Amino acid sequence: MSNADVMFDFCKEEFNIVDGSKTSQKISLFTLSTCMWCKKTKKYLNDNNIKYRFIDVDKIDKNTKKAILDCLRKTYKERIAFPFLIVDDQPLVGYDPEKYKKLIKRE
Amino acid sequence: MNLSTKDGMIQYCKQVAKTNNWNLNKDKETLKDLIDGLLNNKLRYGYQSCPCRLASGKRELDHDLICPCDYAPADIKEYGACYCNLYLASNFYEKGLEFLNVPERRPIDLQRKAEENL
Repeated sequence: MSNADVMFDFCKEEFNIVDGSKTSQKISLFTLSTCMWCKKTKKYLNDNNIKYRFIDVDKIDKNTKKAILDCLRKTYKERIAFPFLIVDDQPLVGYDPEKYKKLIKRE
Repeated sequence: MNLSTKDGMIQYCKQVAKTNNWNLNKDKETLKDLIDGLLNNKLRYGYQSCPCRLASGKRELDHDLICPCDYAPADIKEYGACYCNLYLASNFYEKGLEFLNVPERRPIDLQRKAEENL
């Protein structure tokens, strides 16, 4: 288990799982359902057949939402914005396909 | 115009762009996603909060995020695009760009206050 698995165990039921075959890394994605940058990130992962899990943070109850934001804030030094991608335990905020290419291993 | 309809939201955004001498994003899919996001926020919050930022749902805490957000003029002036790329500088496409990551200009204390009052 990665640290992210442990940290977000409290909200594991909220995650949507998207299957893929091209990475063994643990990828968690926090998004807004209304955000086009978030949609682009999901499309990038889908198009590249990368397995990941995501939560649309704007669509969950406020207590879980607050807990997720607290967890992100305390764990990572990044300012919270969306999409908030965590590859293993490495955070990457914002849509940046060039950085995705470097961070996500193809297997 | 009725901002609670898709046509109304499109007309509103066109009017905002025209008034400020900005371009609307010309990528059809991106523009559709942005308009849908604004409409969704209008319908659930009562105001067209920026679709790319987490709103508290409380107007008094989100007032600076209501589209066009308070930060759009400065972002377009400095970077050529607003935070979500709905509004672009009139010369944006002359630079050969497709999209632009604009750093968050919203003061962190306003964001934290909204996050604490979800």
